[in-house]
Amino acid sequence: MKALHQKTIRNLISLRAQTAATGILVMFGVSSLVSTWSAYESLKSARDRYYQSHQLGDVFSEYKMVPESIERKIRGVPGVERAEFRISIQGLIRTDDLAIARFLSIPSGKNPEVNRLHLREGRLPEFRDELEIALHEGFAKAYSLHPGDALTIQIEGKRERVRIAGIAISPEFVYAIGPGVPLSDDRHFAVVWMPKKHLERLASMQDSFNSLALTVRDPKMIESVKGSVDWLTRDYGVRASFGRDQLSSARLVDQEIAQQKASAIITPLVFLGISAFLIHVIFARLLGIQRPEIALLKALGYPDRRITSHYLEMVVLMILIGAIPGIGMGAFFGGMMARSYARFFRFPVFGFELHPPSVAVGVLVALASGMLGAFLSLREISRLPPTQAMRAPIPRAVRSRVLLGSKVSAFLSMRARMVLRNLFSKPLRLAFTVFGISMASAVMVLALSWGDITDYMILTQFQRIQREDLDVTFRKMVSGSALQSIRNFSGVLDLEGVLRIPVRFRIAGFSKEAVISGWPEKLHLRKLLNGKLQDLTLPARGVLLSEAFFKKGGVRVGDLVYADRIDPPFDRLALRVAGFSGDVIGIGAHLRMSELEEALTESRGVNGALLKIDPHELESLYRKLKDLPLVATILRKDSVYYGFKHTLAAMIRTGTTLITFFGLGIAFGVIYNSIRVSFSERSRDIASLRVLGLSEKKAFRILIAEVALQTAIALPMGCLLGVGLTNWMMTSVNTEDFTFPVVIDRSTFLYAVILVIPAFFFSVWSVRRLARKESILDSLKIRDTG
Amino acid sequence: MGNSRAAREPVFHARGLKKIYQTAGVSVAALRGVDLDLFPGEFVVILGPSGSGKSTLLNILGGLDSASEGEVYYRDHNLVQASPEELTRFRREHVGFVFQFYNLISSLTAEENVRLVTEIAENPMDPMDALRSVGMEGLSGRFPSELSGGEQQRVAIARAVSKRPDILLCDEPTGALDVETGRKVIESILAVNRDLGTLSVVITHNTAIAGVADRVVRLASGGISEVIQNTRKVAIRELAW
Repeated sequence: MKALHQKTIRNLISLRAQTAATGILVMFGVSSLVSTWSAYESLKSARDRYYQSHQLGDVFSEYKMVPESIERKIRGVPGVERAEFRISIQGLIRTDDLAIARFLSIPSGKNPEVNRLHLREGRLPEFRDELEIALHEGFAKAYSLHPGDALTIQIEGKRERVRIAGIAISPEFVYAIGPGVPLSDDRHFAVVWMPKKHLERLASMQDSFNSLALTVRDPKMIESVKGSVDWLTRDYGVRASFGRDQLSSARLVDQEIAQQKASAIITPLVFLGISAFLIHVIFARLLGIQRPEIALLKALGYPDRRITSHYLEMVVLMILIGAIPGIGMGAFFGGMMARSYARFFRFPVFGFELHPPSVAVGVLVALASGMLGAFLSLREISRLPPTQAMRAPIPRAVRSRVLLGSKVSAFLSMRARMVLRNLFSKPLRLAFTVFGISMASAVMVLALSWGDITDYMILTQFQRIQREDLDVTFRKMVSGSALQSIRNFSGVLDLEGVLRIPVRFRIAGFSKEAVISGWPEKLHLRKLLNGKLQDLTLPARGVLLSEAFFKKGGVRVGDLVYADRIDPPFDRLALRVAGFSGDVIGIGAHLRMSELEEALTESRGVNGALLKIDPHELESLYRKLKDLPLVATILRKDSVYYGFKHTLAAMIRTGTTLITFFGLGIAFGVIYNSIRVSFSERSRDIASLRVLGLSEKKAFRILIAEVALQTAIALPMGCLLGVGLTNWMMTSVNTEDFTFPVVIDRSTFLYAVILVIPAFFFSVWSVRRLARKESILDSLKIRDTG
Repeated sequence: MGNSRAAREPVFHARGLKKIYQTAGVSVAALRGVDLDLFPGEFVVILGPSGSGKSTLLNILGGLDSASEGEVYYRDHNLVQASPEELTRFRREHVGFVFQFYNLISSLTAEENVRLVTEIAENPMDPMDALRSVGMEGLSGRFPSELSGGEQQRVAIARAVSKRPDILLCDEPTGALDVETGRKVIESILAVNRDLGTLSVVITHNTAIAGVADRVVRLASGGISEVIQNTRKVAIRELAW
């Protein structure tokens, strides 16, 4: 090994603490890219593989009822590859709770041609005397159900006992959600597949179908196929067919992938950007203190090129020391993200795959930034005359004349002046260091604000907007007297009737399932909010639509919007837009009940009610209502609330953990390096102070004061930056169904600041240890050498 | 001066002073048993080639380093057994240092460098008086980088004497300076010695400076080889090297 290589290794060992501090930054920077990008790629390829292998439909359509005779015609449409004609109907599963279920028909004992099931347990249901079903994995897991277990289902008011033949998943329900709810709630929503003959009987749809799923030979033919299908079925319902992109599961999966993509761009941009910046700063300073050594090498006759490559070699090694574990850490966090996906997104196999380009980009960016930092300061150093090493140290020129002759200075001790002048004599470096430290608390604010935001959303949704305890849906329209009889049940404190119509909105270019709610004039159990989440009253005429979704879709006040009803009689409603409402979770449409009734063709009344219940009677009343023949479903707010909280918490946990760790890494990396380099630069000053009779502790305080001052400026700045970062992040993660309001609790700022403090003390402590080992004589270089 | 010196108590009293540096398993003896007494008001020059142990001796006397063996008393304080805290106090209260490379704080002006000491000393001079005593009062507002080497060294002397130290220890104070500037610096040290009666010890390898001393101590290979009582001190302007 050449002497210079040996020197590289020795330098790294003697700079081990700094190597570690830099390594941590590199590690987090690289891992943020590797984890988010790989998670994005893994999710995308899992989706594509699953849709491909299990024949997810390209075109879907729903009808009132279509005779089987049309099937042949549809199969004959040019471009149609496979077609599945099904019965699809909503019903219930009666457990301790009531769960809404989507019942779908499949061929007896056979996998359908389109939307093929993937069995997790057991076998496909067959047409036998005993009613057999395949149950979606989410619900089965939520209730620990297995093949052989029995369940009570309810379709069109008829209750049946069924036996589970198999537990399955389907590409059509990767993310299984109930109607009108944007988050999966496996306890309250299920998908059930059963042989067509059985479902025909239960749904009273002999020899017909009401749901169509088909694949096309060529994606380019989707539009023409949709047109032909709509024309062939024009007499059986007004509802137009829609593409895979409008399927609620596929749409949510796509949204999640888009969100993951955004986070795979933004997170590394922020994190790797910060790392790159800090690495650059650190190396510039690190090499600054190597000046005498560099001058010595030059004096010995090493050419500049050789010296530059020697230090670049050191930089490369320092970066790699962080980058290699960074890849491992990226795989770890990426795996964590993948596992958290696997809880909500049901794929046959969902493995995390390390995406090689992300590894390459991560390492290259870290290397490039480190080498740029090193190169810039090496260039400056290479201009040094080689005699520099042999010369007496020249006092640094003090450019900053802060406090010179000012009145304030009279109150400051000489040491305070030293600290301030040292800081301000290199304003650019001061700015960089302060910015670096502030990024630590900014990132911490970003991480912790997620909790505040989701808490706020849940609070807004479940305390301000939804004030009821139970949300009841009736099997049919009910009259005021029926409502009154429920109102009279013991324990019912308040009741509000509602007319809800599930529809598919059709806005230019896209469609979206939602529920239109007709409310009484004076609302007391439901609150409507505007886009700024302030109270809003129901307009006398016209509909209020969710701002986040519809405004983005180009809808304006005064427009007419169209909504196709999903349930019989499948007609189309036209509504005039009166304004926009701010919904944090899900999208909605609200108007006066009287106006909605006018728009409907069927009898008047309400089909749902919100109930406020005496807490002591909640359980008994829930059981009582559940068995009323009139009642279709009941949602308990407490259990939905719990589910939401749980799901959201699980969804944000991985990201939050990753970001918090990163914040700690930045805090330590920047503060340690700053104080370490300052120590090298000031060790002579410190030694001089000690010679003058200051204790080591007091002399060291000028360093602590320097770093403490930088940290003190950085922390409030970091909080402000954090707000900016959070705003940016939230705009990029808002979806159709979730509007993340940027709300940051005061305690978050406090934590963001507090979490940086240990890094400060640890850094001070470890450099102090070094300082203690260094004697005055070493620092002043006044020991006899012979 | 000889008689009066014998009658007085020494400021420093060193016996059998040894210093051995241990570095990476190799021990290097910098001092091999030095006996020395230094008296109030004396101007002592310690001569010796590089590596003879001059700096080590000065550092031990000034409380910057500790002896490996032997004893050193500053009046009745045993420096060998003193704790780091006691040595810090000793330096603060009694010792003024001047080094070859000045060691001024670059971020403080000349006056502020002096204030650094007067702020923590018990009975300090006015900083401007200290600067005046070395002829630097006119440049008090300048930063070290704006001063020549000789000017910096005179500020360092002003800083060292501003606390009215009992001892002024100078390590090669003219080592980095040209003759004319060096002469000014020696003149400043002599002035302090004369006006304040401070025991002044100057180490140098420049034999010419010995001409102005009361006593000259020669060191060689970590031991005292010769002590000369200077009977005919030369005037400062006669110094040449």
